[in-house]
Amino acid sequence: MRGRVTVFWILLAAVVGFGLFQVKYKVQTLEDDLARLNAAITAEQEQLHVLAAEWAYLNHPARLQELSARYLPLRPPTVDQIGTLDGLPDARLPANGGPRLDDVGR
Amino acid sequence: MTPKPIATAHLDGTAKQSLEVGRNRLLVGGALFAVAFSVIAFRLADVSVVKTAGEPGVAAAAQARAFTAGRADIVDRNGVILATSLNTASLYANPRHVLDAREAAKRLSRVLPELRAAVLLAKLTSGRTFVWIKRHLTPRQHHSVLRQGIPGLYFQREERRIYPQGRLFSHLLGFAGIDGVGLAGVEKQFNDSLRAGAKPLVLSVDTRIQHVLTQELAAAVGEFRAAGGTGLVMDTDTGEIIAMASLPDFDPNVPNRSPAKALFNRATLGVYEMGSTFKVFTVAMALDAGAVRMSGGFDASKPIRVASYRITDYHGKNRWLSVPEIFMYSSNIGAAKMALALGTRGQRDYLGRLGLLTPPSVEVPEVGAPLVPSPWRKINTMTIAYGHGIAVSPAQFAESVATVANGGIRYPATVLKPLKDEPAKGRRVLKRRTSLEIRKLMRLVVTGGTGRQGHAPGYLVGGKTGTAEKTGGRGYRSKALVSSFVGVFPITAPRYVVLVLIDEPRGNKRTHGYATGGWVAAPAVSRIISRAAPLLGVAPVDEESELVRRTLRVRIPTAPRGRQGHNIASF
Repeated sequence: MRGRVTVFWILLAAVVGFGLFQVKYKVQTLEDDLARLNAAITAEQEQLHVLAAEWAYLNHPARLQELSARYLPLRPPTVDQIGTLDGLPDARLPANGGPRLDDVGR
Repeated sequence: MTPKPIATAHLDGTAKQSLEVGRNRLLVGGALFAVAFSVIAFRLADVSVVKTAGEPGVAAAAQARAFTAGRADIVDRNGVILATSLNTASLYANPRHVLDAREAAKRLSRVLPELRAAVLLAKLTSGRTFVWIKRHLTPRQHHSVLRQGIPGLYFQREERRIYPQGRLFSHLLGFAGIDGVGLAGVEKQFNDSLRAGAKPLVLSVDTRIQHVLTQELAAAVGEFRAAGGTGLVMDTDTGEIIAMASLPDFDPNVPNRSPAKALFNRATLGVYEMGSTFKVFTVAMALDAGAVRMSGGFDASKPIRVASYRITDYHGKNRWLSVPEIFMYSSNIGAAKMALALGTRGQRDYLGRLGLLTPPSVEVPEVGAPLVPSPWRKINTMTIAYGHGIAVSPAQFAESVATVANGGIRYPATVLKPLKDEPAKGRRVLKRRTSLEIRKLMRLVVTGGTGRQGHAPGYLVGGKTGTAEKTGGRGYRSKALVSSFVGVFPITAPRYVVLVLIDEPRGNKRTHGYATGGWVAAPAVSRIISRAAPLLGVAPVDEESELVRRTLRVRIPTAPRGRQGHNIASF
């Protein structure tokens, strides 16, 4: 009886000890991962920062203007290109009857 | 008789006694230990079971170190980056660790051609333990130096201030030195908060409008071969500076490559005699104080002679002029007489309240104090009426024009974007009615006066031209002019003030040799408004509509009976 109890306790101690070490190593690995990820995040943030600066540089209005003039047929809007909603003809469809958007193309 | 084993019994008694003592002692000792152990056990249970709050249930994970690049960013009102800090590598040497200085210098000068081998050699043989070779290498340079593998060379991670917009905001932003200390402009003004802060500093400027302003200003300065120029776009209802430019400018990325002259901020540090644009204030204060009415006028048929001065009209009509005409044709004689009607004290009082006698509150270190006459004589009152004898900075001038135009409330000029739920605080300086009357007059200048070229179709520009002769050494040099135009749009409900000032323009063929504000600055303002208004969300209106006409109608009175002069029918 007494011997069995001793064996039980020794076994329990061994199992718990083993489990403890397992958990410890796992935590260590996870912590290493975390540190690596954190470092990667910081590096990414720094990259983002550099890219934001480059984005601002590439969007310099003078550069955009030059590129737009070279590649696009767009020009600054003139006064007669700007209107108000009141200037539009009444495009509302009749409340009943009349074609609805769903019916179009059927 | 056999003796009883008394001794034994006695001994027994002694042994028993000592046994008893031993047992008692053991008992006491055991009890002490028992108490001690139970205290420990109790404490153990207390710490581990009862007081669970002592240790957190879950270990806090190490957070990612928030990335900070040192000095905080500066952004415009829409979040566009105007200034940011990047990490770079700087190259230094420990000459004591350098094995072959001659060879090292030769190889270094090969990968960094801008460094001379002789200078490098002197540095590497200096015997010191630390010497900078080159600060802020580009990544490519960094790599090529690494590849040389020269012993004794080391890299220091440093931060460098970058201005992605280049020259666009040179004077406003200023620049930061190599050690990250702001040396001019906003960088200097907010140096402490920028160094401490993680949050970007949000300015009131709009990069797009700044580009339009700078481009048109540069075009005008170029066309008239001027010494320089400055311009501002300001929100009339908040005092926010939407754009502010000064030419010549510089690249804040390499400020030391520009001449010292280019670092001068004409918009805030420069003070100018504004010339006739000042009549906006002369008429406003005279109307506001009731010294004159819209229907009134003054005899402008003869020049005024005071002491050695002679006040004449540039666009002379040589007759009695009504108040609207004085403004429209920019009559110096009329303005001088109007100022006299208000009086010296009244003029000084109003100018003070408009903020033209003290430095403006713009948040840059380069702020020029206005040059104000002292003592303020009658002759000063008369010349100030048409913008001579007082010099103010363009920034404070724009602020005061905004005050006159927006209904009479003065909002201090600012380069910071106000917080969302923080309405701008202003102080009333003029009556609402005065503001409306002045706006009608400013519209008149553009529709039929000296500022016709400031017209921007659809945006109801009102404005005033100004051409001042520059003082040089003694007296005025009539060849060197400061020509300006201040525009307000839309004049029926002002949103923005646009000021353009050209320093020493020279007339050309297109302008028939004229270099006045109406010919030089007004067209620039017109183009700026046409381009900027859609970006600023100002909708164009039909300028010929009945509502607009009725709002802006001005009755130009005729000369009172008995006075010499023409009436309205004759011009």
